[in-house]
Amino acid sequence: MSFTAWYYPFFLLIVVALFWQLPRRGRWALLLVASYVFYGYWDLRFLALIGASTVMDFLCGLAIAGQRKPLRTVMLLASLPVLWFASTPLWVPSQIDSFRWLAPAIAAAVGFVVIYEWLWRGATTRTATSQTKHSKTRHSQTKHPQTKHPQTKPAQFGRRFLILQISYNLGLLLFFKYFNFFIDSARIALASLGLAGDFTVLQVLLPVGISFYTFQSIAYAVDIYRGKTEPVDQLLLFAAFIAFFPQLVAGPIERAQHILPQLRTPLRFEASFIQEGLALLLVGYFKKVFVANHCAMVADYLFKGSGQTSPGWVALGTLAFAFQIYGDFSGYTDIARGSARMFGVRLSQNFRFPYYARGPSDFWNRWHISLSSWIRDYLYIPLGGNRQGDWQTIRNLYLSMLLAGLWHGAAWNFVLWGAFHASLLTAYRWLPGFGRLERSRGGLQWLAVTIMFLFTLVGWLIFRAPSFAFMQAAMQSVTGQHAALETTSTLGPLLWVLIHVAPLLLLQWASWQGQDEVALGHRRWPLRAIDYLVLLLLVASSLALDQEFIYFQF
Amino acid sequence: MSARSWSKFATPAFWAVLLTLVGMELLIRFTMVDFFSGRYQYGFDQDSGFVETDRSVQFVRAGGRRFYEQHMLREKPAATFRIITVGDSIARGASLEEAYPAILGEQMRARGFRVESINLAVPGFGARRQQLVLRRALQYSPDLVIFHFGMSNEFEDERDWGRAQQANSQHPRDWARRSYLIARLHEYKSEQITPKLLPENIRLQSALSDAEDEASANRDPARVAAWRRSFAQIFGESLQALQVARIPVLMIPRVQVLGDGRVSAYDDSGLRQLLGEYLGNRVFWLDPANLFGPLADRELFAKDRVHWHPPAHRIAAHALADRLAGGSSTAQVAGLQNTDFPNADLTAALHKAKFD
Repeated sequence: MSFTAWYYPFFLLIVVALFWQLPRRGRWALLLVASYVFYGYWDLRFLALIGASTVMDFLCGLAIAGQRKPLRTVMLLASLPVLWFASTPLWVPSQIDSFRWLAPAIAAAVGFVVIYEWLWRGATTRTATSQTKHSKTRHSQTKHPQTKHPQTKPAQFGRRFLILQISYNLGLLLFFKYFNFFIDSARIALASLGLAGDFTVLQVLLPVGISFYTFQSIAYAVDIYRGKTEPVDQLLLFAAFIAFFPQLVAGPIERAQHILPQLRTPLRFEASFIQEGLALLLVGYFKKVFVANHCAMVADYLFKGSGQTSPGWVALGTLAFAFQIYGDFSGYTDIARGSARMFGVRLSQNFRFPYYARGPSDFWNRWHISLSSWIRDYLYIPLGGNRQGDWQTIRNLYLSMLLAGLWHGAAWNFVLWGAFHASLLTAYRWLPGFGRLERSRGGLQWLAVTIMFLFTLVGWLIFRAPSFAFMQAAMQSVTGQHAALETTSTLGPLLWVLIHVAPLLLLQWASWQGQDEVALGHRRWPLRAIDYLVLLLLVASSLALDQEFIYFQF
Repeated sequence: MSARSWSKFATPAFWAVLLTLVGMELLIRFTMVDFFSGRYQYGFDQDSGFVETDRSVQFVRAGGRRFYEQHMLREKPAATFRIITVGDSIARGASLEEAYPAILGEQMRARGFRVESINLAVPGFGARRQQLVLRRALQYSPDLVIFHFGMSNEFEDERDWGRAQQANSQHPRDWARRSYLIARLHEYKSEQITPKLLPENIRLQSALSDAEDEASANRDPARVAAWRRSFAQIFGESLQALQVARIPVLMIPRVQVLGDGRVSAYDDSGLRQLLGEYLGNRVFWLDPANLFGPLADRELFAKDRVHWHPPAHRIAAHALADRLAGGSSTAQVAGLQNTDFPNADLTAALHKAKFD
């Protein structure tokens, strides 16, 4: 279900109204059912996938902390997603062909149960030996006071379950998102060497939002292992956390320690939840419906085969795309935050005026913050961060940014985009002029902002280019090497982009003081009323446009 | 929820926004009554644009019917010859004065006839909506109906029928469209701002404009075939209504000039063949190919090679006036395909309308 579907407001209204009537467990159950309805609306088979992730993350999360579930419970839980998958043709007869995936699904479930049990049996044997030899363990039970299950093991064995959990999640992600990409790339590479590779390309449907909830699940397991959070021993709560519909398909990528306490707390209804939620929804819809969808018309003209690669059009189309993707994704985040707020949950801020960044490091502290902080905490720092010398730092930067690029999609231009940002980070870190620029204050900071915005545009050109040939032609055009003729005037479209971007910039000016793109609470109520009225009318004038959110594909 | 919670919920900003929106909506509804009357029927409301008083009828721009402002008596005065033109943008012309129905009226009066010539052409109207206008116009006893016909507006008819259904739909999806404020804002943006700033090729590429919808629909053979069937049926019904009312009709098909330079060939999309079934018995037709044949197309037609420039309107008006008045036949009048136009009934009616 998309946030821009006409029925979403009704769906949200009903779920919110019911939510506040229910006791705590009832709320979790409601959120879970609502989230599965929300997600299953795209494809019922997706529910089997998120169900499998939930069960596996739940069991591994407990196991990392040394808690074991009985075999029959593990088998029962592992069989539930498979049973759901097998039953989907009953609900949607056209999905009968999905039966060909039933055997692999059963194999995955059985494989998980076998590995899970095998790891525990190994742990039991080793622990018995270990406890005889050493009375001390790295993690004691006092670190996890909520642990109730009698069959508990020291967390030193948690590492194995952590690896299992990460492998399983990354395996799903690689299979569903990257399998065909790697096969195609291998085929091309072999062909360039004069070898013919006969690989099978699978018709795999990319589950919406898989990159988001996979990363969220991995963060959960790693945080348990690091002792930063406690494992959840209530499956209902955990399933509601993983599937929480406001942020399920396009983030923010949340941390368990941020969301779970909010879901656990038996909140009393406050009118401010609705007020804040509505304000966030309004800003989100404004960014998506008014800014992004209209800028998309100009951006699509450049990037969807118009053949225009004149310098003016490359610049204008890329500028339009910069505001399309920003309005689209930050708008989605705001709608997600607004929806969650109505349940009393505060989601993380995912964008903070990203086009005012003074350098790449600053940019990544403002753009898709939940992803960049994930990459920092779970990849860059574990790789050594910047503590092991310059070359290692550069290596870590590149690895991190290449992964960030690849996370966005199974295509080489995303990898190149990641490499471009890694190069920027490297240049700003080691080239003295750039470093000073990023740290600048006063008038110079506007020069820094302008330069970084231009770099960001180059990045978006790489990101959005439909082919390397187009990218090359566009680059040659703007650098004056091969200027193509402009067959369609840019003046009208430029005005079009400006009139759709100007209200966004005014909104940012108004919310700047609050350091949150939607913070208008500090303004006096008459001004705030004008802000909301204008936003509402701008959204209303754009209702006919209906475009899907870009980040769903990631 | 407690009363205290509700009072917190309704902040001054919330009330200000709500009351302003409601106020704007009410203001529009009360002050723009004519503008919005039947507007979201998109021309499918039978009476829109026809404003009757005790004795007269006014034709106004309302309810999706962009009539030129005109008026006449409801009861046709004695010894007056009444011509009503029903059609689309071609017959409507650039202005009331420049379009041939008004010129025809002047010409006939100059030749000594009491003639009323009313132009009820509306741009974008296809067979369905033209038939509604025609049926309504028949209530005013015209002596001659001039009826422009063509298949190029079937897409608009279909689209606007869908819009009219949406505007009156009870479906929650369409609730927002029922607000005049929202509808007007949306209309203003899509009709005034978008076409001015975005070139047509961008609108086409974005697949969000009517033009793109139309281009896409025209590429669909099944849809085009359905339009043809529907057009033939409605066209037949319209002619039948005229036959029942015993009112002569002069048909003018929509044609597109082919080639460059001179008007030498036309594409009429098979309309002549269709019309052939109905000719005779008070059904006449004017062939633009013969009417404009020897003339340079650049002066007569717009860039789309379909719409008429003012000289073409003048030529058509003069040719028709000559023929109706029984004056000397010019070369252009050869465009009139039925040799008996005007027939005996028309001649008799015209004779009554002649000044003494």
